[in-house]
Amino acid sequence: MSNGGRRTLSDPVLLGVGLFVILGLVLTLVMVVILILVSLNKGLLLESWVPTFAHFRKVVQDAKFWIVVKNTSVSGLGTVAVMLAWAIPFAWLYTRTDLPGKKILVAFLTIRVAVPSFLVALGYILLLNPSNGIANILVSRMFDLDGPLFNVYSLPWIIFLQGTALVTPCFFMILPTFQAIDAALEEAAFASGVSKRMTLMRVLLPLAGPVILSAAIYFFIIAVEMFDYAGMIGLPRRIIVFSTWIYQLVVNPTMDVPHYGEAAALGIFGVAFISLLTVFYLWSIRRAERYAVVTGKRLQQSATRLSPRAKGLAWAFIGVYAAIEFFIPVAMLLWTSLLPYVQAPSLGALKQISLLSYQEIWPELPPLLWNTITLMVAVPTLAVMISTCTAWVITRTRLPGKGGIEFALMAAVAVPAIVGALSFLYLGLSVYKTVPIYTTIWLMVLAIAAREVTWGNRTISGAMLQLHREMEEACAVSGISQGRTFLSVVLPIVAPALFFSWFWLALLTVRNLTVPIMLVRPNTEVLATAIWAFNAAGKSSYASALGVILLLLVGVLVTLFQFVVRKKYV
Amino acid sequence: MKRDRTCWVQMGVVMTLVVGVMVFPAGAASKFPPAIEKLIPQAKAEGEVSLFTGSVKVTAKEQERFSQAFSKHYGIPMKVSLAGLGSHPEVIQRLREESKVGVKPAVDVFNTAIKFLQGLKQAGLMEAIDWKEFGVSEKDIFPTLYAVDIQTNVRALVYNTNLVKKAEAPRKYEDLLDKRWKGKIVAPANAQIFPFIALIMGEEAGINLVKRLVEDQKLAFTTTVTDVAVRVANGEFLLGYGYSAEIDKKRGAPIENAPMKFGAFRQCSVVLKNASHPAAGRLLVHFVATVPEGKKLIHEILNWGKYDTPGTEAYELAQGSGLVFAKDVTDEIEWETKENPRLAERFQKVLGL
Repeated sequence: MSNGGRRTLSDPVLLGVGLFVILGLVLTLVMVVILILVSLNKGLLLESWVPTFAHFRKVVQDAKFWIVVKNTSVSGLGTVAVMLAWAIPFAWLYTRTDLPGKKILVAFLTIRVAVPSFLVALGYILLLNPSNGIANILVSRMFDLDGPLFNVYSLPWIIFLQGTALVTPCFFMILPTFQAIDAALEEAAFASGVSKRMTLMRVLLPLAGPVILSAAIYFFIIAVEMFDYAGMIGLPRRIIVFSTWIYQLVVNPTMDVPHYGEAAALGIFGVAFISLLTVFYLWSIRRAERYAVVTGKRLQQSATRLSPRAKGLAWAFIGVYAAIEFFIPVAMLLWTSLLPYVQAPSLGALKQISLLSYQEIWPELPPLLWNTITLMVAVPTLAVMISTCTAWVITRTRLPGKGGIEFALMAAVAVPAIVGALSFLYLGLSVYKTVPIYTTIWLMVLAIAAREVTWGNRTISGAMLQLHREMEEACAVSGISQGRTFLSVVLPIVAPALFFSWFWLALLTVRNLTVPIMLVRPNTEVLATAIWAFNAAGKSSYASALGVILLLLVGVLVTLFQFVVRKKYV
Repeated sequence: MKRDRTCWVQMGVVMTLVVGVMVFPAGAASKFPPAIEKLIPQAKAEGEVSLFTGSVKVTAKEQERFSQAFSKHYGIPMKVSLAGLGSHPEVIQRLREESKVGVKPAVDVFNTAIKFLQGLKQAGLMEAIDWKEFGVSEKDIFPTLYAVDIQTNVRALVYNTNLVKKAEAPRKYEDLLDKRWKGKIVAPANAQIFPFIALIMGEEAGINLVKRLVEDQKLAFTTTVTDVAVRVANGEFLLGYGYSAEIDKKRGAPIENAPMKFGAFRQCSVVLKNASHPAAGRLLVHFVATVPEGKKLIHEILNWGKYDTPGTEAYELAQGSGLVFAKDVTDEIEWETKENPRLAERFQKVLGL
């Protein structure tokens, strides 16, 4: 055994870190390995093993393959561009300026998470469809137009709405980095007569570069997988992208079983593409130390002062976002929860308003809330513990092969969510006789955590990259063990990142649908699956009423979050 | 004196018997077939039972109502769960995988289309039951699939009654090619529902119709079947294919079925092998297939109507413009398991999905 290995075994902290890293790798590799097996097997995985490349052939020979590649690339890149155009200014305004009332921004960003995306898409269809969209009717009347001004059924609208919907997770991913950057750098720039705009462009953005690039790559993958907008807005006019193709293969198969093999083959193409992006990303952060800005001599943070005009512009910018992503979705949710069926606002609709759906869903709540809260607490806790350990190993150690850990975590996110959930279904079944986790909610916890580790790792890695090596070197010189340094020096500094990650992953968990829908059993139903199932049953008012309950739950979470932030980090 | 007393006792016994026979005429002969009588104590010991309802979720209140009716009918306490676990292909796939490692199925009774039942049977996932013993009508039994027909699923065409007069609504599929419907028709992005057009028009005519609907009429698509009704009811589209109007009509939506002939298929129930509550499962199938109260409840709660159950939409459509089943034109199982998937592949290409 090497010295390093002996040191790890004798240091309980390092041993714990190692175990969490192994657990993270197992969870993510399960998805990749089963993806490969499913893509290469002719039938069902537990029934037979007949290797074949037929799924790949069928996918590539499909007439829509290249159309889907083109649509998906344009949609993915466009979505990331729109997302960054909102998220970077928000992160800057929130962390580096004296904008009054900026905490409301976090409320706008987080509450929206509770509104099911299919309802948001439906809201925009009611507003902007070319046939009887409310906005089109109003504009046509005002300007005496012949045809509709807006047509929501187009790729640019999919891109815009997807990009805007991704602002919240992107904001939370880049926020810790923006917070960690030392204010002394800006102050030095100001003292040298550099303008605020130039300081932002030349100092802050380059420093946040690795995490912004990382977020761009990560959310490109997420954008490729987003279904609600592509499905509801793209499908009506046959704008097919990767996610709608997968949906067709799994949910609407032409045969009596889902085409998981072809879906997995598509996933393999995704993993291959993401692998290239990851290699590029790893190459780009090789010189990450040049971005290290948090040193042992940390100064008191001070905010950039905005002029009254700049404050007005900032709030106008936030207001436009709030209208698109907060007021319209929440209004849509409340409106549909009060009506017997989905309809545009009118006098006739107003007469039908009632609280009946709330009365009907009330008895549903105890088991749904219990299961949802279990997931909401267990998933982010597990994911953040794993992510903290992987991020530390990747960014702060010289462990050979650590690039492989980064690569595996990144590749895992490219596994289509449906196939990823299927992997855990197989995992649960494989170990059922020894560990009967399959019929419990804990299989869902593992499956969702596995998908969230990538996000956690990206976010926490971004914050850890900001730490200068001099602190660890000082600890080493003082004879403090590596494990103790991790616990007592590194963790307290990146605590805001861990906290933001936990909070955001909790939000992501309560609205995760793809994984629970694949693994749900009658005793493990959660709010998201109930909302989906009521909607599928044509009971949109019940689905929306549950959505409102989810909104309240998220509201409680946001309030707790604000309380903790005020107490600990301000 | 002693003789008088004996006489009074004898008269009392006779009177009791007479009154008993008058008050409880069925007391001598049970209202249930012997096979059901035998099941009742076993079902009582099991105490609960569950039915797979596809993606349809019902509220706890509705399940309680169902449980009470079931319990009252059989005179035993029973908790009935109506479980909406997801799409049929996905749940069947799970059942197949779960059976390999001995996981008990999440539901006792599975209700689905014939083509899926064939897959369940091949995987050995259903109990071989002779439903005749339980008093189920022979016309409702699929002996080779051990299944009972309890639901008629109609692939209807709906229209918005605020925007289309009944007289102007399409009366045959060819009417959909009228230029007034251009850009105004919506259907689910699901090729499996289109073979039912071929069932009525014939394969080539059906394919050509759908091709023209896509190319000339700019047929639009939704992600789910229920979304078709949403889009027609709110007036975005005038016509919608693949879904029937009943649920939304009940809620007051301006939607109605077009006065024309529709394709339909039968959905049947089976008891799953290794079910946790096999006796109660059999009773549940008996309840929804033969008992008027059971038929009424699955219609009111799950919207599962049947072509021969008065008061349901399927019955009205069958009596009105008419429903066409695969069994009316060919071998039903053959069509469902082989022709339907083949046709779905052809329609998939035409639809460009």
